[in-house]
Amino acid sequence: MIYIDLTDLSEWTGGHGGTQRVVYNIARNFAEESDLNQLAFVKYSDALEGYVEADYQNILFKKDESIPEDTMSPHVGRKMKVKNLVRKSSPDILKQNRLARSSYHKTIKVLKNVKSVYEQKKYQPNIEEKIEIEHGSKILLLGKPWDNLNIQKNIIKLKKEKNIRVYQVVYDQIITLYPHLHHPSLFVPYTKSMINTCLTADHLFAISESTKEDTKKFCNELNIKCPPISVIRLGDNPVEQEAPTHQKYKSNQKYILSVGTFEIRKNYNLLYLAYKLAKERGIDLPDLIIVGEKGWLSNDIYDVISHDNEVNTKITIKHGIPDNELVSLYRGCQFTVYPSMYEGWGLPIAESLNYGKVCLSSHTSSMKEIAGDLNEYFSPYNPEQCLNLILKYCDLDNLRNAENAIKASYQRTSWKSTYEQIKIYL
Amino acid sequence: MKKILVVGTYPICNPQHGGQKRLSAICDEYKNSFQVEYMSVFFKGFYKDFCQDDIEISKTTESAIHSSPLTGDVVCGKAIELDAKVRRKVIRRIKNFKPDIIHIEQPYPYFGLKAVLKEVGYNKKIVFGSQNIEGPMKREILLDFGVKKAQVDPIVHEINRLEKELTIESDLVIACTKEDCAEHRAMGAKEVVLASNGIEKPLLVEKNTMQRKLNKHNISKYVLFVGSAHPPNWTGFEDMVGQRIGYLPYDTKIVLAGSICDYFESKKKQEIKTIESILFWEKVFLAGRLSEEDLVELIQNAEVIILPITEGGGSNLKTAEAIVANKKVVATHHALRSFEWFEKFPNVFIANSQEEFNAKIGEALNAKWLERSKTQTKKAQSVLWQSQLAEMLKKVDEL
Repeated sequence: MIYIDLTDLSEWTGGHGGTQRVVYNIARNFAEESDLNQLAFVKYSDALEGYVEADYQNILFKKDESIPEDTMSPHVGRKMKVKNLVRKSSPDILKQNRLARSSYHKTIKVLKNVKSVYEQKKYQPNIEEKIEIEHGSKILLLGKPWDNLNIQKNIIKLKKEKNIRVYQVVYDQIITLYPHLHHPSLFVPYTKSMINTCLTADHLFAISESTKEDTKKFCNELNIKCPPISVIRLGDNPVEQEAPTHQKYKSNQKYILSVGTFEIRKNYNLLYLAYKLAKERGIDLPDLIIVGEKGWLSNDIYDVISHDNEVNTKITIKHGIPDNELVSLYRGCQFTVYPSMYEGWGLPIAESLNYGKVCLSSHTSSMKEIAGDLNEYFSPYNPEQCLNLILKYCDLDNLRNAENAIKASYQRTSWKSTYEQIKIYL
Repeated sequence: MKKILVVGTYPICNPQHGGQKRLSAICDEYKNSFQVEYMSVFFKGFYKDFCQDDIEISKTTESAIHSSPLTGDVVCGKAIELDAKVRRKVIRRIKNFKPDIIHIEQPYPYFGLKAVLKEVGYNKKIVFGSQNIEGPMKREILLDFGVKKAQVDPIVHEINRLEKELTIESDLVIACTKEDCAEHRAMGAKEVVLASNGIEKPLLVEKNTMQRKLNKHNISKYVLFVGSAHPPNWTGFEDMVGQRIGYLPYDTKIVLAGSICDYFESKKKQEIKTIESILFWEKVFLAGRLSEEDLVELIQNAEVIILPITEGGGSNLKTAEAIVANKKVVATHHALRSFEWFEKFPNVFIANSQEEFNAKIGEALNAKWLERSKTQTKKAQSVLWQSQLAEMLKKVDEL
């Protein structure tokens, strides 16, 4: 029997970020392609201290298209929001400051909501039943279990008592390698989770060679015997549905696209500096559209871009874009830019190529693995290099040549293929 | 019947650390042949359990310990002369009991006792119960704690001088190891007897209090280190085991027991900043200070016992416990001092560097437990106190 853990996806309330997209697409292929008599979708229940059945039909086949609030996990996101609002609302400033008063009222509202959710949960009759995991079965963890460390405690228990085999996707070692690019509260749970992943997994699936190497290095540093790791290639089509014509950006309007959560690690600061550099030199660049939900430690650069009149007419930051609109944006752009400092894979690079668009990206971590010479690369710490590449591809001849090369040699990867790369080990 | 007054710098009514256990065992052995009284001059901040006969230092003297807790034994020893309240009580005890022999445990009480004995005109026998060669060990401890060499030197010099003086003036020196015996002889001892550390015969515990506690933390297999808050215990653990313990399987942890946990508890409270420290706290469980019964249960069920001791003199009581426990043992050479013969026993793994020590723990976890021969089983029993102290008792009786 194979159990697929859908805990984080079943609890996810926002739009899908990179990880959720991977979980969703692989799990959906399992549901469509595997023998459902040998497969069970499960989620972890804190109340029952074990796995319960996950409503996979609802999770995988009735995808919620509502505009996401943010890309943080539901627990962390809610907590942060309340914390920030409370911090803004000290009683002394309430009287003088309209914003503070508004924040205060928002806080009360959020707290009431939290209370109401808590009470609903508390008094709701629990109709879920703990699943008896079969002895010697296999568990596939597709998501990131560090949001709830009890999941891994349960895995340890199941390994001991039921002799289960554990298979897990590893996305990256970002938080252990670059803790400063995330909220400080994440370092400990993430590292604990990564330690237990490496200790309990019988087989790991790394989403890039870079992640595989980082994971091996992590194990080596801690004297952990690294489990076997195979590298899987992720699918590169964001959604298989007809894209509507985008309202604002018509096909004749030139723009560069950059897709990825608006967080410090994605390094949008570099694009801002490249645009400032162009302005200083009197160069008129195409518009830049950044598509991504707001994430960690990004308020300052968000404010800078939004309020800098020299560039804010050129750079637009868009949140809550559904996948079908994203397709439209990919199709309509000249090329894409991806200045991230570190990636486990770099899904937007692959997506860009899937739509035949060149991606100018950073040269670090996994990013060169995706398409090698079909893309061009810059240092994520060098706005000059980035600007020069943007200018190079503003030249239509260069752009066409690159697009033709992509058309001729880029091998697309379907999510079905990703699923098959995993299934073969189970 | 001869009367012996035993003097120390800590109470022994609820012995916890190695020194207390040794002294308690010596007193018990004495009681088989002599009339025995025990008297300690001690600091209440270090020892919560004490008896009516123990003498607390006064508040004024306590302040000296607060300013230098690592030399508390020196302060307590000097208090016998300099702390008026203590001095009065000590003199009264000696005058009332009229001992034939005074056993001074460790050199420290002699700092003050020397003057007091002169004052009361004591001219009978003196036995010096040595646990270590104290001077060099005190130096290591103080330097490890970052005390400046300039401050350490005079303290160590004073201890060395006292140790030598007491060795010469004693009628008998009881030493822990062969090496210590030789040192005392070299200092000019009249007579030296070897009394290696031993242990009480462990009880068979059939309860599972500890097992239930460990189960709650998902621990089924564990590597055990029992240690007191004696600095060489934790420095040894940090030096030989360290934090890179990811080789331990997912269901195996290191369990620390005894007052060594106090040190690690306070360390745990400090901010966790590295992946190594996060791993460490994922894999190390602090069982804390335990009752004798719980400790025996913990030892009984341990997969491997470790003795990562790299410094300190004397012989290690924990080594004796490990020998009697008949478990797989990973130890440094240093931990086997006085029990060198144990090295050749089955299930014993020796390692002297961190890398080697951790590799041996991994090896021991996977190794099959092997039966001891009849001779080895008999030899293992020799570590019980009764055997270890037999010669000492004879020598004291002959005084």
